[in-house]
Parts: sequence; structure tokens; C-alpha cells
Amino acid sequence: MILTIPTDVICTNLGNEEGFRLIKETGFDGVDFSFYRKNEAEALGEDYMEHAEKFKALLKNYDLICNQAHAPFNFTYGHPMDYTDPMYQKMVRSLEVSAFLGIKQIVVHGFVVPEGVDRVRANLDFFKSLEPYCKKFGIKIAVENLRLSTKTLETHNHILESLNPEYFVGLVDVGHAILQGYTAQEYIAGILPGRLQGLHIHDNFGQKDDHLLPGLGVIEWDQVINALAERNYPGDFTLETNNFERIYGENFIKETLQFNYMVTRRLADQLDAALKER
Amino acid sequence: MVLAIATDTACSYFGYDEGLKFLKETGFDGVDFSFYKENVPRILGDDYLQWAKRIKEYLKEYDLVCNQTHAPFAFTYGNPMDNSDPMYLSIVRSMESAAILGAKHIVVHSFRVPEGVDCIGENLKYFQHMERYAKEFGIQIAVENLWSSTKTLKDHNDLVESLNPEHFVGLVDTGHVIMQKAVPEEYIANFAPGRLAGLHIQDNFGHKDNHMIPGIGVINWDGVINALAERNYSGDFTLETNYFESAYGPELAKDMIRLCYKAGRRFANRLEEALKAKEENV
Repeated sequence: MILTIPTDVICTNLGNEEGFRLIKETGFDGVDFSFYRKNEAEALGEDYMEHAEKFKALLKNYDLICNQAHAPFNFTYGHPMDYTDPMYQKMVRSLEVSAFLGIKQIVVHGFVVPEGVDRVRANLDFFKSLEPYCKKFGIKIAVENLRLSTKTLETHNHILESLNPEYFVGLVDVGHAILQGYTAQEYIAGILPGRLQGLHIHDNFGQKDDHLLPGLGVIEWDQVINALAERNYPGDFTLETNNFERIYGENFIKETLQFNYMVTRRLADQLDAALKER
Repeated sequence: MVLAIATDTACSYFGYDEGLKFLKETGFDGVDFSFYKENVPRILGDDYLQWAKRIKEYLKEYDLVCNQTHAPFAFTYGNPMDNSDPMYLSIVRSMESAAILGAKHIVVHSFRVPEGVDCIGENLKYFQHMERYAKEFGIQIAVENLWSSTKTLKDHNDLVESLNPEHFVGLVDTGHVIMQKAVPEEYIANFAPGRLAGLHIQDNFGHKDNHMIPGIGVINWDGVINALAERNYSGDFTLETNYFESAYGPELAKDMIRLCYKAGRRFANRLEEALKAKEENV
């Protein structure tokens, strides 16, 4: 089972070279490339393809795969869905760079809408506007469950069902599932058959989107593993534990990362074993 | 600055010998000996003094101080305050054992009361009843903030300030302050002057008493450090991160405790520096 971690906190604090080296040395198989926060400006400016070349060289140098990416998440309802909108343009660039890095899928967030606007319709229009770019670059978009845009499992499934399966896959963020009022295992079991291709693995205490190390919060991880095995989950084990990595700042990232790896490799192995047994 | 940790997780999972040895090897200067959970029937039975001597030997062998201890919790309101009550008996025995281990003080929890009963008044009677044992064994009782009994800083201060300073000290649990809907740095700053002698260092997310590693939750640790330095805190830095340590069971408990040590040492060093800086400025 491939175990990966977002580049967000690690590369923001240590720089790309040192960050990639540490991720590899710690034992992770790869990275989920974060095109947000610092990277939004740095990696998606006018010289974005130069940056992409550098990232590709680093991945090769450290023998890391890049299994997934995360687009910037600041596109808002009502903005033009074309290059006249700087955020839309960055979003499209992140798709292009991801494809160049050999990434299978990139997470693109849905958005919130003002009261009275058909939220699902607006989000479907947005995702569909990106389909030509998926086709052009050869990459899939992963649609994630979010409290404010997809809100319910039913809506998440409806959105996925309405999108071309060639270019759109489903991703379950287990922490978000809790905040939407489900158990993570219920959500996994209920997601549209054949569409679950990715995960955001993290934990919380049921109140806030804490993005903690799995096991520290309220999620029942044995049940999550069973639910994933039950539906023959074919994807990777991708962490999104950003708040755990950053708890003590840059001088402590090595320790928190090592610890994170130890805990999550165990869970990934558990899933591997459950899938094999099945 | 002495950095200590509750023995609960380490000794429950690995036994007293291996648990204490591990805590020393990890780097801790001392331990807060936990006389609760399975320790109540185990080492506070009729042979409790033999247990105390055995644990003292381990502490000596591993060169660990026992800076603080924690009595079983908790005595129930309305029960007889004498040895006919098993919990009362266990608490008294834990005080005697703690004195043998060389602990400066032992944390004894206050209790909750039914509606309409004067909580602070009843707890005051209880602690005053315990004073004789504190005197007999030569140990101080640390009164901790608990959101179900000492609900506010005022309650806590009233209780501590009404007790004989020779035998009673105050202890602030940083996580419990959050559960009391208060701010740890403000709580520390306004705690009864001259009475703060101990800490339970732990963090949470503002909803439950999570006993997490400091830094992971909502507590402003820079503020806590500054508040402690500001009042010239002279006690130790004692972690009570039990739930964090045991989050993954015995298999990863040692790694969790090592991480607690690294984080705890960093905060303890910062407090030490802040205290020194303050001293130099004076």
C-alpha cells in the first residue's frame, strides 16, 4: 500500500530539496503535492513550468512518487471560469503541472454559494468547466467531501454521478466525514460504487477540522480499515495530517514526521493485510 | 528545571521496573507517581508499605526523583471520612507511600457534591480532615483545579487560601483550566499568591479533557511560559499527557512518551530561560 504525505508543511518550512529528502528518508513512498498556501504563488506563477521541471527532478532524485496533488482552494462562486480569473488560471496550471509530474489525480475543492443559489448545479458547472483541461493534460480530478459545498454523502454521490467518470473520481476525507455528521466507515461504505480512488487520512475530535494524526481523535480506525477492505479500495493511503506536522514549528518537523510515519505505516499495513485476506 | 511525567502509562504497560527504567533512559529527571487506576488494588492493598519500599528501590536504581504523586480519585461526598471507606483508606495509604518515595506533595482530588450543597465548604472540611495525615507522614497535599468541583479560579483560590499553607499547596492543571472555560495564562497569573507549587502540563481542544501533548491543542504555551516566569514559578514541569501516551496502546507507547519528552523538555527549557531572563532583569 502506497503511503504518501502532503508537501504542505514540510516543504514550506524546510524548502523543497530538504523537504523531499526528509520525506524519503522517513520512509514515505511519495508525496501529495500541495499547490496551496506558499506554493500557490511560488509554483503557479508565470514560470510555473520551470518550477514543475525542478519538482520533477527532485522527485526523481529522491525516488519518490507523486500519487496525488491538491489544487489551490480559493476559487469562489461567481468568478469567471476562464483565464481572466487569476485563481481559475492557477487551478488550471496546477492541473497541467500535476499531469507533468505523473500524478493520477488532483483534488479540486467545490465552493460555497450565496443563499438561494443552487449549490450542486453551480459546483457541477465549475467541475465540468475543468473537464477540457483534464482531457488536454491527461489527469483526473478528485472530488472531495466538504462540509460546506458537498455537505451530505447523497450530494457528494450525486455530483460524482453527474460527472464524466473518465475524468472525475471520488475522494473521501475521513475527518470531514465526521464533521458532516457521519462515521468515517459509513461514509466510505456509502460512496458511489466504483468511484472511490483516493483518501485524505487524518483525525479530529468531532468539533473542528483538526487534521491530526490518526488515532488521536474520535475516528474508529479499525472500522475505517474494514470499510475500505470491504469495498476493495484500490487507491493509496494519503495523509492530510498537516496540523500535526506543524505543532512545534520547523525545528520539530523531523520528529513529528517520523512519528507520523510510524503510526500511519501501521495503519496502511493493516489495510494491506485486510485487502489481501479478503 | 525538573521535567517529570506521570508514571500511569509507562508503568501500567511495562511494569514498575521496566517502566521507570524506560522513563529514565528517555531523559526524564523525575516521575509523578500515579496511585490510581489498577494501582489502587495493586499497590495500595494491605502490603502497601512493601510496595512503597520496592518502588523506592527502583527510583534509586534508576536515579529518578519522585517530585510529585497523585492519589487515587476520588473520594465520594457523603462517605465516611475514615478508614471504613475503601477510597479514603487508599488515599491515606497513598499519602504514606508518597512520603516514603520522597515526594514533596501529593495531588488529592476534590469531589463534586449534589445540587444545593456548598461544594467548597464540603471540600474544605474534607481537606482539613486530611491535614492530620499530611502532618503525620510529612507530605503536602496539592489542591488541583477541577471543573466539576473547583469550578472557577475564585473557588480554587478560596479553597487553597483557606487551608494551612504548611500542609497544602496549589497545583494548576493547564488542560483543566480550558475545561473551566478560562485562559491558562490568566489563571496562572491570578492564582493565589505564593501558593502555586505544581503543574499538570497537558493540552486539549477545548471540548474534552484530552490530556494531550502540549502544543497540539488550543493552549497558548508562550502565554503559559510567560505567566509562570512572571510569578517566579519555582516548582517542576510535570507532564500529565496520559491519553496521548496510550493512544496507540503498548506497541507505540514508548514512542509516544519519547515525543512527550522532546516536547516537554523544549517547553521546560524555555521556562527556565524565561525565569533566568527575569532574574537578570531584576
